[in-house]
Amino acid sequence: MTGKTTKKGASKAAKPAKAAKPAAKSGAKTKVAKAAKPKRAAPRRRAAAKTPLKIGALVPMTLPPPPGTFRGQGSLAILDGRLFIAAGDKVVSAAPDDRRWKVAYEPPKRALGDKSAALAETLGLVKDGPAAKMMGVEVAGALGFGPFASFQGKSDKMPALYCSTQSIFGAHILRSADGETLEPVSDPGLGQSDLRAVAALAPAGEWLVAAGAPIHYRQRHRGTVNRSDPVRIVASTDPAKGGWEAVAEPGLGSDVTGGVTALCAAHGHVYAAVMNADLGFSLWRAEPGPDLPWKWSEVVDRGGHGYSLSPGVSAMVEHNGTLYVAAGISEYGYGKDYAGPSAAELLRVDADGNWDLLMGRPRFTPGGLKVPLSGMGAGFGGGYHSLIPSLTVYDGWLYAGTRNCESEFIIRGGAEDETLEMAGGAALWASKDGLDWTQVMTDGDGNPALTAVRSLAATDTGLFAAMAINPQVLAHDMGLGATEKAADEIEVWAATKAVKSAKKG
Amino acid sequence: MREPLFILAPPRSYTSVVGGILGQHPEAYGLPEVNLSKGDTLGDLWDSVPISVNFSTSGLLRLLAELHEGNQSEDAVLRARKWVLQRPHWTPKQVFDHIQDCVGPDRMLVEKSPHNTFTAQNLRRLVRCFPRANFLHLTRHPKTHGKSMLDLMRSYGEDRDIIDPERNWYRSHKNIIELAESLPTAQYMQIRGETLLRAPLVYLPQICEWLDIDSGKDAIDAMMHPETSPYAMPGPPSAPFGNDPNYLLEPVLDFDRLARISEPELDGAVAWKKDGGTLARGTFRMARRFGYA
Repeated sequence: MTGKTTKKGASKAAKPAKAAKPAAKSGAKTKVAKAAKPKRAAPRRRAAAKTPLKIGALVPMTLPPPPGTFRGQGSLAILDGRLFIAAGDKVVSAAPDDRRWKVAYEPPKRALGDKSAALAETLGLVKDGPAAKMMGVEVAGALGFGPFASFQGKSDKMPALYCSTQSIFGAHILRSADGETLEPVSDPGLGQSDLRAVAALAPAGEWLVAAGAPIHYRQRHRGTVNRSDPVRIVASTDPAKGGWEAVAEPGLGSDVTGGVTALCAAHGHVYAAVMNADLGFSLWRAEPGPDLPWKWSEVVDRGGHGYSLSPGVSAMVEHNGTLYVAAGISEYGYGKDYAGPSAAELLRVDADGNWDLLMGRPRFTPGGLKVPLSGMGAGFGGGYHSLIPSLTVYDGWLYAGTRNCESEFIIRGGAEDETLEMAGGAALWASKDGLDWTQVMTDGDGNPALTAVRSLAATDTGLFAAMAINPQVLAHDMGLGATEKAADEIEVWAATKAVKSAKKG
Repeated sequence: MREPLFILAPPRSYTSVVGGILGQHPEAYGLPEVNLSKGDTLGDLWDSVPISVNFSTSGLLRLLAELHEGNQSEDAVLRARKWVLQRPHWTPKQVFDHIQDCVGPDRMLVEKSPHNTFTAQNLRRLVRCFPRANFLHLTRHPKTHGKSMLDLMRSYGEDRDIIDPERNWYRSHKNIIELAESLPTAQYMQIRGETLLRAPLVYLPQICEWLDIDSGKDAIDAMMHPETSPYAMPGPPSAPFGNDPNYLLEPVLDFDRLARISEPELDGAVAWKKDGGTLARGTFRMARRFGYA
């Protein structure tokens, strides 16, 4: 079965692309052959593959699902061939051929003080009484973890894996020194007062850049609707030893407020996407350098004139000199604080700071008519693809993983009906240039409970994906009827040469 | 034959101005308010309008008079009325086709009746007639829209307490949004009326590009003069309307004044609610998606 390829260059926005037929339900898990432990070195630039992965190439790994709860989390990273995944209140890791996950980092419990108790009460973390009675009660040292970033700082002899915590006691930066475990390498809050969560982490030249977010940024990509939240961006050239410095003035030198949901380096700049549920996201950029704070300028305003239907950026990636920006509304494509429902969009930004709409709703803008250059409407032409949580580059191809809320809408519409016919499931698309797209996975690979490609990680050995499985949808789809709503489970899928060989065999 | 353009908006949303502008494109023909979506037949439309009120029928009668006889005299309008009464079984599509035949196949009909948006059924009728038509969703700030509605109603002596302009604003836009979700991406575009009128030279070429019609200087210049339309003036006694009454009296656009159109903040009290009431949450959210701050 082949994927559906769309045509580029529509002078007008074309009609939504017809989805390819769903692949057959994934069968037995395919074993991923044991990969030789790679040497720790900067990744080599490989020639681009002539074609993207085929439908069916991405399959579940033999690894069991990682333990933990995954409400909006599931960041995935690979270091030395070893997988790391943020799993609720801890980070776990495993080699591809392992039979179980090991805890890579679990923060110690900490006793609430007066300030943290009040915050815990505000966030609803403590249910046993008012803050005054919670003093001294021990709670988890971290509520969750931000995204991973591979970075080589001044004290790193080779690229190291960095990660951030979200904690009412102040955010930490974690670093893997041995390729198996993570340890805190920063002061609480990265030296900033009240910095309790880092929502975005990205290398930019000699700097590792981190963006602070409000503590209620508990779900990745969710952002905040609090318009008064300050934009806080810090960076370090030696994160192994700390050295975090503020690299942005309050409001980025303007009056912008809101959480930063994504950071990415491209054409000599670092880009920061600022959430704004009322007016639409804004995208800013600065040239990293020794003179602090960096000078930030706005590249995209008002959600690319998608306004409140594009309140936040869920993922960004650089590919062949172009920055790709995925925007949308988290969760089901709408919420009490957002407009919607609405499906995800994809923009591109060039080195001059000009932007185009690649996929989404056509619109009039001060800079001219913007039509989706791929010819596809929002959500890759499917209205239930509410978000693109993951973007990555693998083998010279840009990959975009979606979150599909159709099955969850079906349940919300009739949760007690055991005969509900399920539909939906996340998709994975690939493109060389952002214009022509090919489907790599469609309809959750035949499983409507596979609602999101939460995270993608590309290495020389293959493409890895953290897939969110909604147990409630799964129960309905298997004819088990209504179940209690529960947090997503995560399955790790992979496409490697070894996998392909195993399938052929 | 060109597909028509329907400008969708509730009343008092700049539809007369914008319809007048777009209708003067050399490749277009701007219609007055013909309200053909109000029924499944011409008879339904006529029966739905109180005889004493010629607001809803003026546009169609003036249009038919102009197309049939080249003028909008009282006699020509009376003959147009007779033409209508002889065809109660005609569907909206048949009437539109007749209009297109009169105008010629190469000109795009531009239709802007606010009645189209009053019900989802009206909008569906349009799509049934023209599945490949283009739809321009025109918006106006809910606060200034509400004030404009109240001012108009007051000028007709209506009691302001019985009017809820916000509810009409929300209902019409909700109907349009739901229609848009059923349309192919390329057939629907949304624009704030204030944005368009503040900078017509920025946005008119974009609209032309979207509609695949000439966006050159001559075409844009023609659009800047809606007053040259035969429907940009009051009609004869039995069909005086067909567009916004104020626009009919002053169709020449003052672009310097339009450039200063302001948009109030969504927050804060609204004129039609007592005790400092604010916009309803649904109105607020919908206005945000249109880009109002």
